[in-house]
Amino acid sequence: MSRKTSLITALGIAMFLPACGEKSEAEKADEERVGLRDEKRKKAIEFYKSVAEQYPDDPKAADARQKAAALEVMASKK
Amino acid sequence: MKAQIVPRAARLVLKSGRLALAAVVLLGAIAAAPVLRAQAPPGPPVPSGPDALEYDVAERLYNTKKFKEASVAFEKFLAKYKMLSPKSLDAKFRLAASQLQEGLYDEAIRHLKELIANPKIDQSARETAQILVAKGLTLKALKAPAETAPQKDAQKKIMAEGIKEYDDFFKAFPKSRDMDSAQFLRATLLMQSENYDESIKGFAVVARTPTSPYAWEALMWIGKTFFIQGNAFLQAKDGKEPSAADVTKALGLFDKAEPSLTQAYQKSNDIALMNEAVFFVGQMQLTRSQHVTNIEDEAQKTKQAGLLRASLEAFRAVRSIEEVVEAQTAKITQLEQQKELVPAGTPDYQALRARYDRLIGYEDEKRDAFKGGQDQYLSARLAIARIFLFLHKTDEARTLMRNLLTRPELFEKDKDSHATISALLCLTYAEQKNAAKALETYQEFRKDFKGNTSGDNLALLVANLLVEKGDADQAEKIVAEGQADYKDWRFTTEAMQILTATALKKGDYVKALDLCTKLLATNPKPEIEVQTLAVKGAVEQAQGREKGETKLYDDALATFTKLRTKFPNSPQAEDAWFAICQILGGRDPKKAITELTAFLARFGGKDGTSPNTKTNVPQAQYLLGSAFAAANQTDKAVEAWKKVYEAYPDSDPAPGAYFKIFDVLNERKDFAAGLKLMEEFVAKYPKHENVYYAYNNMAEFLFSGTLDPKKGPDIETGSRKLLDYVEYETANNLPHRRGDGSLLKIAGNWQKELPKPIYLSLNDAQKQAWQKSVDGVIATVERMLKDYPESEKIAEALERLVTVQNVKRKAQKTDAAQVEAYFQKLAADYGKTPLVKAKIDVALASFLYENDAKRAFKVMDDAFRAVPQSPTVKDSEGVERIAATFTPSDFDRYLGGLFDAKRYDDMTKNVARIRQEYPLNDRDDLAKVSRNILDAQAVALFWEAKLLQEQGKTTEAGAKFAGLKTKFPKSSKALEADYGVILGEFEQAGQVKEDYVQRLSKIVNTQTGKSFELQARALFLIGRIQEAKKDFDSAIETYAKIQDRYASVPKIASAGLWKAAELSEKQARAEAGYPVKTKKERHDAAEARAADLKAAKAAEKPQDTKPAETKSPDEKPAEQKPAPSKPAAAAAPQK
Repeated sequence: MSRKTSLITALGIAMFLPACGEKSEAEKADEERVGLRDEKRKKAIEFYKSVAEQYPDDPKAADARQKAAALEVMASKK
Repeated sequence: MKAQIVPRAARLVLKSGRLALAAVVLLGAIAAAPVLRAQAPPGPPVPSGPDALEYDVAERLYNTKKFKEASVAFEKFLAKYKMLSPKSLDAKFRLAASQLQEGLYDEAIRHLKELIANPKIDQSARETAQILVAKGLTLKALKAPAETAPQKDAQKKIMAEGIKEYDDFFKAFPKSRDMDSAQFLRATLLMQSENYDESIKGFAVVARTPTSPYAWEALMWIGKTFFIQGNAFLQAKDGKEPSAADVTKALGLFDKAEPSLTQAYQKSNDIALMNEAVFFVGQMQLTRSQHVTNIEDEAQKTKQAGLLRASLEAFRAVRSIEEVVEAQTAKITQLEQQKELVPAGTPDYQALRARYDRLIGYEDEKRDAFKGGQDQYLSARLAIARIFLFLHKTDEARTLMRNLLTRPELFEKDKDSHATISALLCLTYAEQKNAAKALETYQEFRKDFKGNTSGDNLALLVANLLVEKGDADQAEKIVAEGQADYKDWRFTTEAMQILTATALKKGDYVKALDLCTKLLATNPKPEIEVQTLAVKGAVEQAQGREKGETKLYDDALATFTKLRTKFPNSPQAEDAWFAICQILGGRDPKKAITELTAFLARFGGKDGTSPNTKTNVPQAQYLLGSAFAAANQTDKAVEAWKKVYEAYPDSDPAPGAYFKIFDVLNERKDFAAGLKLMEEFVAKYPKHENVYYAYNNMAEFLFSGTLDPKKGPDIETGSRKLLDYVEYETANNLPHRRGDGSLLKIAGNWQKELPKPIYLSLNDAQKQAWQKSVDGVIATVERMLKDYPESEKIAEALERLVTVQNVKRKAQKTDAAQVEAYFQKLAADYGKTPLVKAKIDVALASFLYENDAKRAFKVMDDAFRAVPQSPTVKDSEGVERIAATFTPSDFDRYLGGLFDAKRYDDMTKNVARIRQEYPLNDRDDLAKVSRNILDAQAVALFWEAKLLQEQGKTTEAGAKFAGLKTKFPKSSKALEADYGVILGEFEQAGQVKEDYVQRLSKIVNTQTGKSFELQARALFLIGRIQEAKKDFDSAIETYAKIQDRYASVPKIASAGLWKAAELSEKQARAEAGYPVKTKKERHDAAEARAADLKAAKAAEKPQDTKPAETKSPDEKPAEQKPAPSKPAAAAAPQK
């Protein structure tokens, strides 16, 4: 284990270091997307609420209220 | 022309009247002169020798009034028998008498003087001879020509000799029976010599001799002499009108004349004499009426009417010549009877019979004179006609004249009166502006009396009338006739001026100038030259103004300068100076300042000789301001303009000066001072025609917020200003009403002030402002319905009311049912006419349209049917035109409804109607045409195209749509058409063309009217296109933007929000096909888009580049924001 182990360890360290220390582009993008989706969720809530509040006479007002509520629940489950 | 009824005719009558009467007295007396053997016993003479027989033959010739033959016979007798026959003295006497009758005065007087010197004749024969010498000289004087000054002097000399002979007679024969006739004739000579006082004394002697047959005649002559003397004071002397002092003297003499004339008329019982006296009374009253001063005064007017009435009465009393002659005949018969009744054998037998003979002869001669002399009846009728004309009783005058013209015998001896009546007849038509009849009677006059002075003004008057009627060519012909008919025509200048004015009216400056040049080339009199130069300069100036050519202004300057140099003291020189100032004002401000300053120094505060100077001085002061302004000396300009309204507040340019200063203050951004000035204007000229502009300027300041940028627009105070104007206008019932426009402006400003965010999100202060704005619009529109129900702008105002009612509904301050009830009440309260009711109903339909298009159409359809015809209105110039009934949007909605109902014929009718109500001519500059007209025309074209499309005529429809796009690119219908095309293609093919977003962006960024529905729809479609292109982030952003920009279009705004929410949700839920893009992905996509765009741009032709006014959808929203602070537009009215 001396030289070989050290080498393997060294290789392993060298091999695993990036994985442990820096995330890949794709991972970053996925992470960003998660955040973006949450932002989208918040936006959707905002838009639905606007429909429900500002246009109470609109036939979709009730739906909008429900959808906003559902999206809010979706956030709390996360 | 000054209205003068009689003077010239009166003078003619007077002159001929006094000569005729004097001649009558003389000839009558001479014809009845006894022979020298007056004392011989009665009975037929018994011829005893040849001399006696020859004498008897000659005597018979004399007695039968064959004076020429008698003269020859007596001359032969005297040549044969010298003075040796017992009949020689009588023959010499008869020869002298015959020669007097023949007008051989010098020979007659020579014979008479020889007889007087002959010791053989007795005292009574000498007396007769002596009186005949005096009468001979009288006749000679009266028959002598007196046209020229030397002739007049010669006549005066003869008259002086005659007077001396009468004086000698009085001394030699103080107890003569002929004393009265001698006195009468002497007085006549004195009057003729203008020795009026002595003349009146002489007539008075006769009038006081009751036994004299001339007593009444003399009394009347006292009156006539006073009248003639007075009339002499009233004649123009050296071309000048009589002075006030002379008029007073004349009227005083008339007062003295009146009793004698009245007495002669009332008491003489002699028809001929009464006729004469009453004729002169008529003349005198008429002359008096023409000298009543201060005629505007009611009392003076009544006085003049009274005099004219008296004159008319007197003239009406003048009898016909036949009546006078008949009365004379009766008188002569009576005298003959009295002569026969003289008892024979009495010592006075011969003498009395001789006196009767003389009287009969006198009356007989008078009768002949009446028969052959001027007809006073005709003269009186002429005077009556003139009085009628003076009183503008034109029809009465004409009836009288037409009646006279049916009696040609009246004019046989008096062609001048015939000509006068013929001319007056034409005048009556000219006065009544009956060009055709005036022309006809002018031509009749010209046919019979061409060149007669009584009608020398006809050509001018008729030409003037023809010019007024627009027949310039005929007018020119008539003027040419006037010039041909009258040598040195006194109206030449006026005629040329008429022709020049005609040419100017026709815009034929060249001809006008040509006329002036021709006139100047004739070496005219100074007064004509100065006038013509003035006209020429004015024409050149006008031409210069029209064409803007420097040379023409140079010509005008040269003409005016020549006028000033040549006629420096003329009134026209003052006008020319002012004109020079005007011209320089537009060309050379510095020179203009010098000239204007000099002009004002000379005439400021003083009157010049020209009547125009008084009005030119304030104009010059105003021009001085303009010249200073042009020379960039605005402080001095303001000072000069200020002086206009301070020194000449009532002058024409004074109100304009206020607006000039207002412009300066506006430019200097001294808005507070501008407002103050306008307030001052309103206070000073509350009734001025431009007071509207003052109110409007004040309101604009307040509406725009320029007065206090921090505070911003002050709609409330601005509205109050305009409402003040509305109050003023309605209270004064101004003919040109602008209040409806003011109210519409107020409503528009209140509407602009409505806070944009939705009501629920407003804070308390904003809610208060919201309420104020809503109330402001509602109150203003209702006021308009109340005070201006006939206004064409009602429909537009109601459109604002609909908007505000919608706003109220969205704020949950009312609901649809309440709004409907409100409009129904409005219709009940103000819909007094079918038109106003229809407009209110259409407004209700507009409100209903959003939620219930079907019902809205039904209401609209009923309203449109209620007013099937477009109303007409008169514009400010009184020209009638078709008025707009409904707004272009109303028509659009209605046409849409008709289209859906497939009522194509009704559509065609309404397309024609909208084009009539909002007319557009091919020559109209589209940049200057009102928004409403452009919209209306676009609506008409759009629905026309839709109809063609429906009929399968796709090519024609395509051409119309293309025309719509090119002709009315900013109209909502053109954009709507394009929107429809994109939507159709997109929905049908599901494909996205490259230019869709660009075209839709143009729609979004073009403000088309008060509604933003189309823009909202276009933005929504952009969202859909972005969505189709899977550009979800952009799509969400676009959908959400609709709510921000077009809150007034709630359906689409909420649909946009819904779509934004849905897309966001799909992305949030990571639904398949709805990825979220990372920052990098977005960046890459943006770069790719930019590259595409660049490539596309490179491929584009230059002319296909995006229009400059087109903005990207990311730019600022197009919905109207509250007006930014900006200086009020200078709204100085054009002078």
